[in-house]
Amino acid sequence: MTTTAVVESIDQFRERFTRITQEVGRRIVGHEEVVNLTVTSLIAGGHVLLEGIPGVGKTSLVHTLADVLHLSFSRIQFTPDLMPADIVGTNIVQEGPQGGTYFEFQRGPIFAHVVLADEINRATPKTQSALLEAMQDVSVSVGRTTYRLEQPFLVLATQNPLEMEGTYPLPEAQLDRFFFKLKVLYPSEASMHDILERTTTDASATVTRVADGPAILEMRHTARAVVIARPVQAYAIRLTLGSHPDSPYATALVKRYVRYGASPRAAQALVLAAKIQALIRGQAFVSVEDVRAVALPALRHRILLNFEGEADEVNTDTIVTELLSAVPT
Amino acid sequence: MHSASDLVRAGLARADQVRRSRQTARKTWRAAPRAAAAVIAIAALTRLAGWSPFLPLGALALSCAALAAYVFFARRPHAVSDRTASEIDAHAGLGGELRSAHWFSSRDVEDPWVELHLGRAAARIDAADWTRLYPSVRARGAKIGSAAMAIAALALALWIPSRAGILAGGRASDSARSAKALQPLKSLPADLQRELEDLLKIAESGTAAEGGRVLTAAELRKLLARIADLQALRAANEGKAPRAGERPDALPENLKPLSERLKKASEMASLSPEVRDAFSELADKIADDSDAKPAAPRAPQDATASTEAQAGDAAQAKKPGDNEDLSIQSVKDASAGGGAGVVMMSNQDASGGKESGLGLGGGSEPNRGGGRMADLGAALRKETIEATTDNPGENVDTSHRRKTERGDATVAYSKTATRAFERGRSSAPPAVPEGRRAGVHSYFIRKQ
Repeated sequence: MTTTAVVESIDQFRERFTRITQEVGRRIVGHEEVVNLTVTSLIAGGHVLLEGIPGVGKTSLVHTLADVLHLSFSRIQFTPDLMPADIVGTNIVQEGPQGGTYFEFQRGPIFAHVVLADEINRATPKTQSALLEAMQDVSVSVGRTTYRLEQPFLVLATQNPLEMEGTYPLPEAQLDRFFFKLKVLYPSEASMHDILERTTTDASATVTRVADGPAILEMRHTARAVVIARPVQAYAIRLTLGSHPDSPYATALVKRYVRYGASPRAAQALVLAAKIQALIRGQAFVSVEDVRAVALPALRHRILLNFEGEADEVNTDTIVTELLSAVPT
Repeated sequence: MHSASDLVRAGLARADQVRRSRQTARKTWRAAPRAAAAVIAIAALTRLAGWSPFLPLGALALSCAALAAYVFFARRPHAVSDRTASEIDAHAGLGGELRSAHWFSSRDVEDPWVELHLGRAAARIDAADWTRLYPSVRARGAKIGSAAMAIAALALALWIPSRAGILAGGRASDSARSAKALQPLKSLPADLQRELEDLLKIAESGTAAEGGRVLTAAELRKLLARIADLQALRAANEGKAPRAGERPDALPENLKPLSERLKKASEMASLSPEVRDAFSELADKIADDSDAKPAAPRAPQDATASTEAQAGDAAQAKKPGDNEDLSIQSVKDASAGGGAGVVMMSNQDASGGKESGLGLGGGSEPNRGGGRMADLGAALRKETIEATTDNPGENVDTSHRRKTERGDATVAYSKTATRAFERGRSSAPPAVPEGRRAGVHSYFIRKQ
């Protein structure tokens, strides 16, 4: 590979990324950053936890993304009575042409490129954990058989921060498996005008497919080729370590309110997402600013608050922001 | 052909050099005025304390050497650290490219991505105008100020006379002045002596009372001035001051009778106070025994003080007509109830016709030697110190006494200035009851 080929890869990456986000933006209004980070997560091979009040466009975003990327899409509405077999599938008895019976694996909705786990915190932990293997290993095991999931595989889970009654908060292990946690905020007044104009008329916004699975995988390969200097990587590590209360980089808030900090997966997410950010800028290297740009979505759900933090309703965003300002670059 | 790594390293080194030059210049010109000010302070201190002038020169040389050494070491080529690269990157707004390229340039990495990265970084570094990013420091004010202060320090160290010299000169002039004042007359010119005797005859004959020629103080003052000129001329010709403890020459035999006559004349009640004062001064001038003999100064300063005290006597004695004016010098802190209360009053004694002296409790005769300011001051200080000594007895509550009788009379003495008595602000003391008048009289008037 030559430098010319590298330049072409970077340019191609930028072009594809821009086209994807622009196409999603034709239907999703006012959530450019959420779209960018969702696509970033898809390219990085991670999963996204979307948090927002009902009606802000979480589900629409996932639908649109699947349409734009020409990927298979499935939606699972999580409810308390949802069983793991309802997600991964189950063996059912089939009758053969000779009259005998046999078990045949009936694939569940997890077998798709883009899976929307709607209101994931309404299912029981047992059902939630059915997603664990799929999210981490991109495979599911049913009985004695392991089935590989097709790449690219992206789980987009949503949860409502308001209605917490009758919900099962995601365990830390499962939270850690999400690459990003994105907060879908209420749209601005100007964005509301666009939303109403697009959804209350006959003219529906149609999107075209601008990329497919192999293109996403190529982008993923390109992203992983971006080089990162050791001092920049050290900064990402310092940020991660700083979220631990016993770390020398820990801030006052971390020491007071955090029970356990971000795992090494957080550092992986930081570096990988920073590489994609560098490519979006058209650069072949990762800078500290790239790391800082993705620190909030990569760290906010990986910081576990202690009792005092929960009692004081401390927002982990505040802790991450303090880390960003305190940890030396 | 240079590789991208070499170009990055060279470009970064050049940028660092320019940056450090600017930083060094800024720090140097920030420190130079301070160093120059310090040298000036040292020079001023040296002049005041009379130290060697080489001290400020050495300080100046040391400051210059320290600054030069700092500049030399700070501008030497250094290995560029990651922190430095990061700072230059931030200053140049290169978005972290320089920092990252700096790290990769020091590694032997065979990767097209790294090569692309280094190549782009080298191009951006080459395009950067480092001299514009780090412009040279002007610091015109600091340069001019430092130079001016350095020159001033040199001038102070080398050309302006030191305090020691000024003091020496001052002491010499004081000595000469005191020598002039204390130089007794060994002889009087014949004409001067004749004029003096004529005036004495007029005074002794009492012609004024009989309607003859009236003796005026102006005549005597004129004579006094001539004698003073004569004394000064002689002192200058001899050019020496009496050494400490040295007694002045005894009064010449031919002037003793004249001096005695002058003293007697100064005590004549028939003469006006001005004339009596003038006679008294003439007697002192000629004899100078009452002043020079017992109070031969231990040091020139004492001599000066002594003469000033005399001048004070004379000045107070020049208000004969204002009998009711009192010059009160309070030397006691009003709040210090237990301290010594000493009030010196100078009052024109109209009935006695004597020179108003200064002393504890009133006038004193000059020939007793008790009314001189220096002696009075020493006595007063001793008295006030003794009075303020905390010496509680058995029946005295120490804490209460300290609160109520806290005496700082010694301090007050040094701070208190002589004030003129203001009639309008005075009030008459309460009248002594008739029944106690005899007791009060016997208490204050001692029986002889």
